[in-house]
Amino acid sequence: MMTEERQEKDIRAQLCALSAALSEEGISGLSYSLRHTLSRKTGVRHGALSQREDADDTVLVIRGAYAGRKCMSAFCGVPDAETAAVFLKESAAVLLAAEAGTAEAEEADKTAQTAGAAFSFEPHEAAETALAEAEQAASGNPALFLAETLCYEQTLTETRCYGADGTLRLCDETGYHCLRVMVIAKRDGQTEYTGGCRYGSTLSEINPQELLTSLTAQAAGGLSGSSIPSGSYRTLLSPAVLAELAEAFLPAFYAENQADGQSALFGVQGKQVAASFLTLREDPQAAGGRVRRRVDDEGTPTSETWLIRDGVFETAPAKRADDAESTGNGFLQDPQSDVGTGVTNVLLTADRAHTRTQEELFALLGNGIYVTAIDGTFAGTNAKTGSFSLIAKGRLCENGAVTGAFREVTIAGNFFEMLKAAEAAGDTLSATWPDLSCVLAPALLCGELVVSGL
Amino acid sequence: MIREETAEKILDYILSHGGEFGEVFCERRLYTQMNRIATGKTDGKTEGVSCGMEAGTGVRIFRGDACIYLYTDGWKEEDLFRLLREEWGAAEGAGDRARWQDARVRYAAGSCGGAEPSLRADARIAGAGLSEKEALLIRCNLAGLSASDKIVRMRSRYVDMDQTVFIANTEGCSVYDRRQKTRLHLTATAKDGAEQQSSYVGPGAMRDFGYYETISPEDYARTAAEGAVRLLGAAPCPTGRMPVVIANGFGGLFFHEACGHSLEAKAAADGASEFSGKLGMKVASEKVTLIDDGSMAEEWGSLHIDDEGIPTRKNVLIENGVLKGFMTDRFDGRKLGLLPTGSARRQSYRFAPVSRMTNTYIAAGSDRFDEMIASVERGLFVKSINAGSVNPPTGEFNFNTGETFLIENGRITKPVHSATLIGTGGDILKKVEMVGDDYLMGQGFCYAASGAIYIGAGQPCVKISEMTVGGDEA
Repeated sequence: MMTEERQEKDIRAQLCALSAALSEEGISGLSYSLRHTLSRKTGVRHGALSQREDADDTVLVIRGAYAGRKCMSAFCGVPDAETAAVFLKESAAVLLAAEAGTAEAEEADKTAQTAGAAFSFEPHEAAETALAEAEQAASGNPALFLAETLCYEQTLTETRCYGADGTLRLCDETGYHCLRVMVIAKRDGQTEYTGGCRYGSTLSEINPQELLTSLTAQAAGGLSGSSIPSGSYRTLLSPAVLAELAEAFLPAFYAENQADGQSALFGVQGKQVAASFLTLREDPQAAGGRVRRRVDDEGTPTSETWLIRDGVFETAPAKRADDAESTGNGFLQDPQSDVGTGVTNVLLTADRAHTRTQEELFALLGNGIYVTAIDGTFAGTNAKTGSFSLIAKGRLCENGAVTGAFREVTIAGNFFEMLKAAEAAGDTLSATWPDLSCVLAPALLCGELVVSGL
Repeated sequence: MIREETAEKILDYILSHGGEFGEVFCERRLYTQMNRIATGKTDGKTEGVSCGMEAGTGVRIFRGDACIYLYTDGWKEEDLFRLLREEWGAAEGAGDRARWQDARVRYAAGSCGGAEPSLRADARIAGAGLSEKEALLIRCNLAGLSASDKIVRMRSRYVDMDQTVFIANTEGCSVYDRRQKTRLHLTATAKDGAEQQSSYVGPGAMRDFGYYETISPEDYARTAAEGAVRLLGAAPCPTGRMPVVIANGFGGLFFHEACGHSLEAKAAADGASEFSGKLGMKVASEKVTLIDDGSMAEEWGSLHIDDEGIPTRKNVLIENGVLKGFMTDRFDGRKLGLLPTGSARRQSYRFAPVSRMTNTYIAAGSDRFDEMIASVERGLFVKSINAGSVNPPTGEFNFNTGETFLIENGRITKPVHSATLIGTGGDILKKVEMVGDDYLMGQGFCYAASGAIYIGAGQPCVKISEMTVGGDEA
């Protein structure tokens, strides 16, 4: 952890001094949220180091009150008093009237703890060796053209909240290790591009060799793919695809969108929105999840909640500013943004009676398509309506057996209608990329989707 | 900002410890983000206000085929050297000290471009305070709500930045640059019964707040509102393959996705783009001339210098269908054997720069819009595009349409639901059948390896002879 005792004392002293100077400017009720990130990336290409990145980055958000109104501004590190005062006073012009007790929730627990083992960084050299070995092993597949991305990411983010006198009020920490892989396969003039990511506590636990080899095989399997006739197809979604789709539609659950009528789930809280065997659960400490948070970025404790329980829409994630009691879902999306609604780890799972192995799912699919990858969720999904239309690729199935590959088609449907029509789910979960929310999902046999192709 | 002497020390350290190239990028960025949402006939509430200052330094080192990147907030010498010493396992010696001595002479001779700007704290970012920006959003919301009684919600978003950068490298570059950007993103939601439709517009420029005196923000809000209303009652969009006419302006995002990313050096290096190895070859219809130009005055995607310190310029990528060049940066340019083209970009000091687009557009042709429509028996007219993405190795791209209309028997007949249009770049470029004479530039954001950057995407109206349309017609 970054904060050794001397550094902690320095920070407190700086904040105390800053508070004193800002107080003279008429700014009161000060609180500080300091987010410190250490990160490391190791990338390999052609058996040698291609990318090496190290970062030590701090963002400080200052909140207070000026002239009876809230004020807030963000900086990198601790700013000088003049700069801080200028921005804080300016922000008060448009922020709301200050209310009593608007500082982060007081919490006596000042101990920085992580759930599970303490986070440790693996050296670049060890990662470089492991990734090079993985690349070597995967090169045994003649279809492999290039491991275009083979990057091990390690990130630790520590959040500390201080009062005006430098008293530490809250402390939280989250970190992850992730291997990010994109492979290009080529054969007979055809090119296929596929990727995935895997989380773990160490690189050996992630098993880069197995991940790269399996993704290469997947890419090779898609090389013969071409477009297929337009129509409706029985569809099995891979875990990665369902996780990506679920991530795109999370905003439909958020309280802020419920209140505004900007959600496909508007007015249906407490009602059936998915097959009764499906559950969508948020777990801030989930095994296999990327995130470990005890409090959100507003200081509200996080907790295990059910967005969908037995197919019923149960809880709408909320932050403090929403017209609902906070559920501990107020998070900063990036250093420049204000707190928005977010989640920790969200898991979409099925009950045991409806959980199947991959082979069983294919047998149930019968004749249809197995979608292995999608793209375009940024614009091709609509959380207000639940509709989606996305470019997709995958495998054709006849009588439960893979008979070929397809690509360059779109699949379209309604996410929540799809959840209601679900028939069974897989027995392994896949997680989304580390760029946005963390969603883990299984494969899902989801009825029919509309394909646009030939 | 970082002291020039500190930057010199860092570059000297890099070369004396085995680095082949070193670069220091230091930035101070003031920014504003603000949303205002209005429903009914009131002017709404302001939320999501964020204003402040980002300041940090990134150090980049080339060694063999590896790019090493270190970054931290601020620019304290002790922090930067701690990172260098702890995190960069460099060998002693082996640096090109002679070359560095030449560079240092140029350094000392005052080759520093640009003047170190005043960094006095000023919360009037881009020349205006938050109250003025909030007032602008209120005006936009009121204009949008008043455009039609079917408009139930206006969401107006304001973003700006005032960024000062200092870039120095071991080849003697030592330059300051200041960039001011401002943009509105106006989303109107129309409702009729249970149906809701949204439409947006997003005018922006490389300018300060004075930009809004040169345009009519209210007109833009009304355009968004009218677009949303037009979408009400839209029919399901057909699926399958058909001709598509794409409107001018931000319709250029089509080419941004279809081939723009595949022409960035990061994609093309190591043969990983569908256009790798095709320089000088015909890759598109002769109607297509594709240009990326970061030097266009005051355009949203413009920069005076790129994020490696190289002046931006007009780069002709495809000329009359022939591939003429890639957008290159120093690192991937080395792999391609190409000089950098002023195309290196990054979201902030937290990212190493990578070749990216700036303002990308199809040059105007001579075909007329009415002729394009008249030439289509059954197809789509795409009046606006929301967003898209691409896989450069395969060229598979997709984009989601905004306002979309059916063309039947040479006439635009009715609005249809938005759809996803897909294809592969190499195939689609050859199917550009007509290019109009009504060029226009649009504004947007692009998210890729070096973060989110502001880009321009433009074109005249264009007709594609056939594309796969992912509609929702059963």
